Amino acid sequence: MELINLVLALALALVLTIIIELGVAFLLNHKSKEKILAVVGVNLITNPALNFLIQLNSQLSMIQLNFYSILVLEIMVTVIEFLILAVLFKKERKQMLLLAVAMNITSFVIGLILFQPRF
Amino acid sequence: MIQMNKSILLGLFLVFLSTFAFADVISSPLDFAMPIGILAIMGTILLAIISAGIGIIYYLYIRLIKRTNLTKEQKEKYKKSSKKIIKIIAIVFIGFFVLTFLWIILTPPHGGRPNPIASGLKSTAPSGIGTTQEFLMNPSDEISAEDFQNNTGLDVNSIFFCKSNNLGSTGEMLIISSANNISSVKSIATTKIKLNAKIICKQTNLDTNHTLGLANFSCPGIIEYCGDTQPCCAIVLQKPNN
Repeated sequence: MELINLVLALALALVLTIIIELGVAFLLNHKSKEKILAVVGVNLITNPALNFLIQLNSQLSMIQLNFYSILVLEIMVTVIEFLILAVLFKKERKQMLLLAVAMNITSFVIGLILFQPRF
Repeated sequence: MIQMNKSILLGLFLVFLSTFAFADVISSPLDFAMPIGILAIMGTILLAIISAGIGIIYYLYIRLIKRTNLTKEQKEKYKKSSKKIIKIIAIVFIGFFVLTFLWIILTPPHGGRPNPIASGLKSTAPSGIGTTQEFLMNPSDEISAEDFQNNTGLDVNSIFFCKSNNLGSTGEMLIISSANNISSVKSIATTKIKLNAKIICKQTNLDTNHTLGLANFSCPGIIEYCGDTQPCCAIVLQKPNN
């Protein structure tokens, strides 16, 4: 039962993140099929990895999870997403940087508002 | 591409098999260790999702290369280099998950999980005061003094659980008992409880209540059973400050 709840929570986090980040990509006028696929692809790589690390940390108490450590993890995710997007769309690196930063700031802030984690 | 898919599938299959095996071995002797099995299964599911993401990015990369004005040779060169990159990413991810699980399993106590209480006991006994890192108690988790005797060298009659007053209503969700002189704590909460513990150890049981300063804590059994000639350690469960 706990496993099902955990998987559902992680799936919800992943789906919400993809919806939010796709929304931001649309707002910034990145509407092509390739861009949509790229946003979905990078999130399938970074979001589960991030959540696994957070879950692992809650089991092993490796580092104190607070606002700042989450922020550092989020910055790492932004950098990884930017690198992947920049490799895919070499001619639009600046726009990809803006896109990666905007997507992750939005999903981070909405995540804070929705889930109101107690640090 | 076909070869790469095969290697990823093989890697996934091996991780899947090994994590299930680990989960089975670990979860059998102690309820307390159950979350590790869940973590292993969750890791496998996440690994599959990450692999799907890598697949999408690779597909997109090839598709975008095809559209560029590069010569056929240059496109082939790009494809080959991208295969290498994707393989490296896949190996890094699979390696990360496998090593993580191995690390969890090979690190004592509880057959795997580094335990803040065991670490705290080891650094505090036979005499001293310390505070552990935070840890979580899942619903129905039960921790017993027996869980710590092997990896701390302390006798079961030397380890007692107590509740701090700062737990408030959470304290009612933690049931401490000392059946057969063995102290244990069980969570009856429906959600996870975040705790840390103050560990107070003294060389002997001489005037335990006074020397351990436990007047303000609830420590069933500690006066009656804590060893006369062995160290006496109180694990005072409390709410973390932050």
